[in-house]
Amino acid sequence: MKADVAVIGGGSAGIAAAVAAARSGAEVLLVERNPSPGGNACSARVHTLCGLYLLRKDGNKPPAYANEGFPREVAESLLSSGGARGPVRMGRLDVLLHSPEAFGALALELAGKFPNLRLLTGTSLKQVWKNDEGGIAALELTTPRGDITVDVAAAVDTSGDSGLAFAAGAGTELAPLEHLQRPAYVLGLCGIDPALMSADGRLALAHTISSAVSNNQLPREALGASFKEGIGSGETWMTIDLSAKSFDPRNVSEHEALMDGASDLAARITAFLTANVAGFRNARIESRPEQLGIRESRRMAGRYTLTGSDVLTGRRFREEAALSAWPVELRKKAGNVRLRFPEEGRPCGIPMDALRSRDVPNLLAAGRCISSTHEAHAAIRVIGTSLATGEAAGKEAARLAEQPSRRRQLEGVPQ
Amino acid sequence: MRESGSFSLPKMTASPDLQTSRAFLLEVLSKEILENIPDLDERTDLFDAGMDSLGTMQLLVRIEQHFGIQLPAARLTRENASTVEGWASLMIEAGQGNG
Repeated sequence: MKADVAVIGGGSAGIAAAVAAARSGAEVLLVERNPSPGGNACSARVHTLCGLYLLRKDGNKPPAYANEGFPREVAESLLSSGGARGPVRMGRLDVLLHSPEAFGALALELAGKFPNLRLLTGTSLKQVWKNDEGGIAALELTTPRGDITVDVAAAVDTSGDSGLAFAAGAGTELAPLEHLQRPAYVLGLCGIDPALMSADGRLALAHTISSAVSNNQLPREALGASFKEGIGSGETWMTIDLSAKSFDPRNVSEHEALMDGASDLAARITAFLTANVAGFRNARIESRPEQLGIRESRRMAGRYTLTGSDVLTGRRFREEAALSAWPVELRKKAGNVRLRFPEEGRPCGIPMDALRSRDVPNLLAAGRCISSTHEAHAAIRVIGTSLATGEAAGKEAARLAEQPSRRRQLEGVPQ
Repeated sequence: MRESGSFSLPKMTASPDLQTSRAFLLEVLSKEILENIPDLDERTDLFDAGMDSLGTMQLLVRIEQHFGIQLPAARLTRENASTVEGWASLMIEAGQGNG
């Protein structure tokens, strides 16, 4: 099998990269390890698209997209199909509330829309074959029907944990495990009195949970729980930031144990609130996540590494992939979110060189995998920005695949 | 296990007064809950400064740990909880109720 561009990881960044490369005319293979594409915005039940809009001080001015193109296209498709609502103001931020189910449906629809884009689900990367120039020549993949080898001209790592970069021998980086942004477990509830999602209602819920923790009716971990309205009436999402100090997001076998513990905790909190809060009396768990919401994992080492100071000063670059318009959102401890806003709310440019591997010439990264420090990552990791870096990486991969030397290589490799 | 807080005053058992409440709130908010806010004072809008429901729970638990008081649920409204001044009044109210 052959592909001009292989995209590893079918989350927000991967869908964006695959669609952009396909629109550029490349033969594209999109590889997703789960049974369906969509990533965090679907399988982890993340229900807000962050980073879509420029920061604005004046809440009365209309929000403007930070990145036109694919992020806007996704937002508008979701809005027009009833799969999103907003943007809504949260503190000083604008976010689009979305339905994870609708996001998954859109991901599947987009992946099926182009004759030159092939989606392989339930498929993981097994091995990478390099060429004489140190570039990626072929990928060995484990599909539900056995292993296959695909010759590629360029590849994009949108795996979230830079599994492709690592397997290709490219430099990667990971913050100490105890410093990683805490992972989240998200649960969908229905039948909740919408008044509980008002400012006063949320304070009442916060009071109920913290009192229950003080009185030993709920474990301390319940202090990581927060609630947000969904797009439908009474639809509510409970997000629990997990303390999980030694959790290694690269190790898939650790995910299941953490999911089980989080699922029990979520059930205890739900049962407690159902018994003690009037507006919760008819609450039912409607939707459980298929995976943890991982905020931070291993990153690829790029030709440029975006820093926290770049983000906070709104630095701009000559060749930019996208704009980052989200504050540095630090979640070092479960139950504590700290936002650092850029000077004057200015967006920061994400240079193309943060998407290009420092070591492997035909390897790009997008989404959470781009080259950034721990602090910068806390701003650029969000879905709105991932859609934008994904689009830029897909276009660039298609351009690389078009280069005559890579074409020859691709044609010349024995099948 | 309880986390050790940074608030340096000894644990109180009597009801806190206004000055103690303010000092406690400003220190816990600036050191443990909110990202560095250079000009945080009694009247800063805490929600603008990044206070959310997680931060609210943390603060409620710290107040309970330190002073042994639980704030009245019905009085914890957006209006009362939006400034240090408001939180301090709730603490005094709760302390008097307990005392």
